[in-house]
Amino acid sequence: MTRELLLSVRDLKVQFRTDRALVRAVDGVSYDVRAGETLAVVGESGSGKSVTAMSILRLIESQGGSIAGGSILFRGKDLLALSEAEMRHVRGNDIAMIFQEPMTSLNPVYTIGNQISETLRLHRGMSDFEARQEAIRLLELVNMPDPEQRVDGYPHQLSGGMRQRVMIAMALSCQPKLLIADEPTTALDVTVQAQILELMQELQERLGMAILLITHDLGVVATNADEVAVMYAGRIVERASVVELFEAPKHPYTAGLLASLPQLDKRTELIPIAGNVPDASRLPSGCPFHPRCAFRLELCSEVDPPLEPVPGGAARTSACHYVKRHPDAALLPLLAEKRAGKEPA
Amino acid sequence: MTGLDSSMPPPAAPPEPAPAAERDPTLGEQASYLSMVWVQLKKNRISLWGVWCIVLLVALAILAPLISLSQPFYFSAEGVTHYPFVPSLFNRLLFENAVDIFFNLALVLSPLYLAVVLGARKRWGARFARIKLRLVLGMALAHVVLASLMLPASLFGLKNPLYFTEKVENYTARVLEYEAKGKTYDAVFPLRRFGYRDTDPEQSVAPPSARHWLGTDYEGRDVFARMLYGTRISLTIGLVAVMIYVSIGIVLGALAGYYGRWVDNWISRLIEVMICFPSFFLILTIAALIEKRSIFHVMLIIGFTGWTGVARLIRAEFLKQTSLDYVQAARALGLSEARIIFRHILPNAVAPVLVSATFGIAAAILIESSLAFLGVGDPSVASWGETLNTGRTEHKLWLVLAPGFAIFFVVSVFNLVGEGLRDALDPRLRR
Repeated sequence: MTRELLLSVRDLKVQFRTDRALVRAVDGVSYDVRAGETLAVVGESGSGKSVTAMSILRLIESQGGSIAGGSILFRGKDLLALSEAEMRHVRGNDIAMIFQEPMTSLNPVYTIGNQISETLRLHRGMSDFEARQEAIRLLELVNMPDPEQRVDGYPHQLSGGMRQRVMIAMALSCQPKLLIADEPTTALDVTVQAQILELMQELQERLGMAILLITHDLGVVATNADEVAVMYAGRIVERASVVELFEAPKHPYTAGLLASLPQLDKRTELIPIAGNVPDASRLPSGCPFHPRCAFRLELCSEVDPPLEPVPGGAARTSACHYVKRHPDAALLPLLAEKRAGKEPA
Repeated sequence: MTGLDSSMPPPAAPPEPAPAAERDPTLGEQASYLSMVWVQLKKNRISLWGVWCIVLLVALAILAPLISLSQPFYFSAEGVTHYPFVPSLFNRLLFENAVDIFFNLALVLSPLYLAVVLGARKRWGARFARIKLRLVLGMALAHVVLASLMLPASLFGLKNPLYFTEKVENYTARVLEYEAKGKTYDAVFPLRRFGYRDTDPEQSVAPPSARHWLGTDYEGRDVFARMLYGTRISLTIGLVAVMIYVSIGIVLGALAGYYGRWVDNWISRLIEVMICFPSFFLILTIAALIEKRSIFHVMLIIGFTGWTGVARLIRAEFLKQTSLDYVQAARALGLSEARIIFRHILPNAVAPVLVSATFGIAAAILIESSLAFLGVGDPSVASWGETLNTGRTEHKLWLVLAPGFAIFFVVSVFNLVGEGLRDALDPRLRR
């Protein structure tokens, strides 16, 4: 089943100019989001996943970055070519975004109803009264208890989970085709996390929107995503469907992430990835992951591997010299072996 | 909507969290920011007292002609009855200054304004709380527009439409005359019978007496009346000057804090240059250079030199607020930058300015008094500083004590309210 291609990011390059250097935060990222599906972008902090997302809405300029190249096609039109006014119309209307920090992402001085209805008045031209009714309906939609009373409440009267529900209601107010969720559950309690994820899934089924889910939490990926893109040091290192990825990772970094994930059914030792994410202004030569990689070849420090198709699924790609030479290697067990072999020494 | 409102608890309901199952009294309009500040401010007794003092001062400023004016409310003799009071409020010979016109108009229209407020309260009931602030602000704006209609008229040499009489009948003299001749007359005068410009030629620098409660100044003008009408000048100076510099400061500070980079760089340098000037001497110099000084020049000068503090406060707040997610969220929802700056960030950034503006009013009043004391004020208005200066040259205690106390009182009251406001806005001191 192929769905309509909604968003297509091609060779996106984003850079930040600091006093000392030009930092390439995103270097040639490409991915597609199809209508109704969830693409999860996974990576450690600083891997460029949020920067990519902010670039889609062209909000990266306000944070000091600039888009240096590539294209972002949304339903066929290039968002990078739009004027600021046209772009404002896309924001909130076609593409909406929710953020990581529910405690600060609502304006403390306005009531919840006021904030939801502002978008409705702006993008859908509703009157005050209509907007208020619609705000109540949206609060019902996100399972807010007592929506008729809460609509007049202020953000400080709500818990973190409730605020994230309000954020989702705001984001959904104009029925966007694409919802960008930047770490939507990171700041929430585990039980609340589950509720919010469930809500997002339920709303996606009901409204048929696509979700670009940005997260570092592989548990969230496993429950909510259809497709996964793994990012490292400003580039995508692996693309796969969620089942394929968890079954057989085809990039040492993905394997490392999975190996460092605790599992309930097996009492295996956790294997952390050695080292840290490199400083984006001083990336290592060749493959940026090679200093931390357990499968490193000599070639790795010299040539940056391109993202190439690998066996194991339709449209599966990976950027790794080792995987290219050993396409059928099971990286996860190998990683455990290498670790065990190292231990006594 | 009204059904929901009518079930709201009265505004005085204590803002304590209630069980979530019942109707939560913290929900709804009474939890709005201003009412929260008011609740906090009320806890500070001295500040609350200060707020009432300011209310009293404003009332005195508006009601001044009822307390002291040479024109009777009504005068009846020899079969003829006059009602000279209201026309005299717009008489160029009695009240020349725009500030006086503003307050006199407020006095005349105050029954109307009161009726509008009370009527709206009766008509809309619970919904009134929601529109109260907007209604009062709207009326204030309408009033300013109405009162300033006279300014362009006089600028173009036209006759002020509000001045509908240009001669002054000396009713005080007539009363004396009638009494001397034993004729009957009927009149109701204000409490005191002196306007602030009325001179009493035989009574130059007279000590306090039953006739002049606080004595007279060099030109024989009643000091009590001048103190009373001086309230108008002080309050207007404080308010207008602060409004000017708060507006400038907010715009420049917001631009610097929001856009950063070279905008911030230029504005910050400008602020630093402005701060380097010793501002009182700058004000003094500019004031001395203006040939025909009016009280509005003084307001403008104070306004254009005082904005640096506000700009710095706002810039700092904007730097802090702009990095918060709600600003990013507002951008992601497609709001325009002007809307984000003024509707979303500004209300969150304005709290410290509220405090500084309150102190600023006191400072502006002090500056105006100092200018008048040094003889570079507006000679046509009843300024406390000017009376103080007369006291200094004449070496008369009553001429020093009365304006001295008035300045001291007003400045302290505004400072007390400023202190209270600062505490009320400080979340760390909250309960």
